[in-house]
Amino acid sequence: MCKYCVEHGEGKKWYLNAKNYSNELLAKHEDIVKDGVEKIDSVAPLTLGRELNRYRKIPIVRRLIPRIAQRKLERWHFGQVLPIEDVEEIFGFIQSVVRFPCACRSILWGRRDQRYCYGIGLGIFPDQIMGQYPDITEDLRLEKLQKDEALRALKGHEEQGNLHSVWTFGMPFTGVICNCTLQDCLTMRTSVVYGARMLMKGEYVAHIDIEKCNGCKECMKQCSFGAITYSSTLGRAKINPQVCWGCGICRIVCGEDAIVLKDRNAIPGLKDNWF
Amino acid sequence: MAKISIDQTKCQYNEGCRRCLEVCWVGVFLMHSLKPRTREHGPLGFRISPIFDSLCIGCEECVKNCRAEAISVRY
Repeated sequence: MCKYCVEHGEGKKWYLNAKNYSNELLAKHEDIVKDGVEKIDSVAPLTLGRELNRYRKIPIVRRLIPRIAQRKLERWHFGQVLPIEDVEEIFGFIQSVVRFPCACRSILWGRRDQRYCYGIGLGIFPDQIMGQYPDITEDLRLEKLQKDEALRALKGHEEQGNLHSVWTFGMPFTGVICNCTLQDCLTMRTSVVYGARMLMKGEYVAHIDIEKCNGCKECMKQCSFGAITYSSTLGRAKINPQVCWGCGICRIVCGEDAIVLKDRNAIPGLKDNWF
Repeated sequence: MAKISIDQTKCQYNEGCRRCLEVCWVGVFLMHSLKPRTREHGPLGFRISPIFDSLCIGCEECVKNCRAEAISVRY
């Protein structure tokens, strides 16, 4: 169990606990949510860049970046990777879903029409809070979706190679599901490339059944993190469990159903490998 | 450390050019708005800036690819 599951999960994974989506918690965290919505594409990337630049200049502090960043970002915006099964479980208890364009893709590639972000919640969030910002509701068109419609769209994103992640506005209030590849996500970039931890690995790890794998290499194209490599001697693909993020999107391209997700917590060598 | 500067008067961001964002190996450039969102209507105004300049490896792909010759890199 990760430390957030222990603190906020009540025996389950933290993002499967319906309490973390509640309107009472939203009322407590409303300032953080509004701050996030207002600053997402102006102040946030500038601050992040300035801080990372500053820390990189000092060699001793450079090693502390992950810890400093994690402590700061936990209070503001923090996420975890999750497979589609867990998304389905979340969709079982939430009430409303809205879709809006991805802020990371806007910041990184300058494209403001990439609709990959899903605000989820129990009514008040996301409709009412985000609806207060006319730039979001009109220019960016906040789209209301039915749950089954949203799930279908999420599976479509998965086929394009996007993995799902669930995001908080100040732990533990949870409100957004993102769909990104490593290249398209600013937070994944800061976590993987720059070492500033914003996104945690999933509660699972992928495993290839060596008997079923036929060595077609399709899964290698799907993986954002380069966790899957090919052995010419065996004629099979292998997953490096230390690098795998447990998103499970490699499973849908596998024609042989050779890939399964295993519980990270049940594997002693991986249970503390969250970043 | 590299010093990257963009001449904002020459930058063709408004004409839809995103070349520097796309060609950079390490992702130095970001497109960000000039002010936070508010609850009123109003243009946000965007700009491309070299935010992560400490990561620059000096390949000068951005200088070669900029149509407006607005980017300069110094060491």
